[in-house]
Amino acid sequence: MVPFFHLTIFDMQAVISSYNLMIGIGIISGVLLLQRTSKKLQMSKSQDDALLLILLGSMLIGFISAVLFDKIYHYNNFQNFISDLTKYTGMTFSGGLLGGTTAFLVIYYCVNKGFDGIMLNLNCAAPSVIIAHFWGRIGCFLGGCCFGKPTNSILGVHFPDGSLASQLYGNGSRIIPVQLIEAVFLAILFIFVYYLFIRHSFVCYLLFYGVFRFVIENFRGDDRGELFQTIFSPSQCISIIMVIIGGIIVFREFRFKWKQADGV
Amino acid sequence: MSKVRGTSNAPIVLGIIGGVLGLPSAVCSGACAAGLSSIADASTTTSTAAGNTFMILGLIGAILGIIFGITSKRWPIPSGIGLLVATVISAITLITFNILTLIVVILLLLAAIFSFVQKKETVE
Repeated sequence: MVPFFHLTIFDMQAVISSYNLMIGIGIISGVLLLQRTSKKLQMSKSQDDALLLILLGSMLIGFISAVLFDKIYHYNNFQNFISDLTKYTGMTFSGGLLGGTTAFLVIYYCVNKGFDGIMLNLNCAAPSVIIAHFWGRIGCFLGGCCFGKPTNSILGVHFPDGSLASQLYGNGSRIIPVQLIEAVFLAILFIFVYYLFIRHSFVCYLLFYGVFRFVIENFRGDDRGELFQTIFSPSQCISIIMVIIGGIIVFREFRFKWKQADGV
Repeated sequence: MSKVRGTSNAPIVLGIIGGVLGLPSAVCSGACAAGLSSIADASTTTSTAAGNTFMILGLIGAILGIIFGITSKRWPIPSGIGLLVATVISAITLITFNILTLIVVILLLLAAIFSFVQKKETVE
């Protein structure tokens, strides 16, 4: 865990947040990858530029949504919620994904006056989201957040004294590094999606990541927050929504192919 | 109708890195500004206001750096102007003697220069 990088320039110290740096590397990787993916999917340069601008707007709204959803998950009472609205208290990826995807659909509809070609654009954007998410999880591990439950298994990682995990579970505890496990999963998913299923990358992301996130949430040790007072964590609820939407898209695509095969 | 677009990824990379480094730098600048105000025997309210002002300026500069970095291929010249504005806004917070802000200003300035001078192509 390395939350900060220290640089010394002309006897002056600069402190760089490793989480922010990884997020930046993730955004850069995503943007550069988007250009390669659009070439692979044979999109024109103007389509590529339009998609980049729509993604920029979605990303900004996604970050605000991530902060807002974190506050909703940790809602205590209305007064505290309103007073803490302008304070930064953390982010949640699933909330950001939900807000960002919604913003993407709305902006796309306004720009293109309809949803023609939406799946091509979503399939082009999905690998970039996966790679940016991968770097974000590396950033989470370096920052010491989003940690797992204590374990005595070989997977356990000792987080430094004073870290969030040691404050919760005591100094010297070995914690499941769910950030790294998720990063490895996302790397494998990226390779799978980019090289094998690029034309269905969005659906693959919804289905595979939705199932994975539902399972890995059981190994998370930080405060997951609450939504609708269900037995599932808020991220598990959003994972269920992701899998349902992925299933609907797959069903619609297969139904279209069946109808084509029947000559309808 | 043909459009002119940029071909270089350098403004994107520099703008985003400058922007994400500028976010914690804004917080540092705010804290430094509040501290400097206190040393100058200003009241707590004045110190807090100074800190908030510099933090907000730093945040605006960082966010503009990210936005115009990403749009530098689509609109090279307007993005270059935007990156220059982000540079100037971030440079204002340099008076808090924060070395990270200096790095951010240099990155955003380089991004602006690359956005202006990058090779351009015409697309239909």
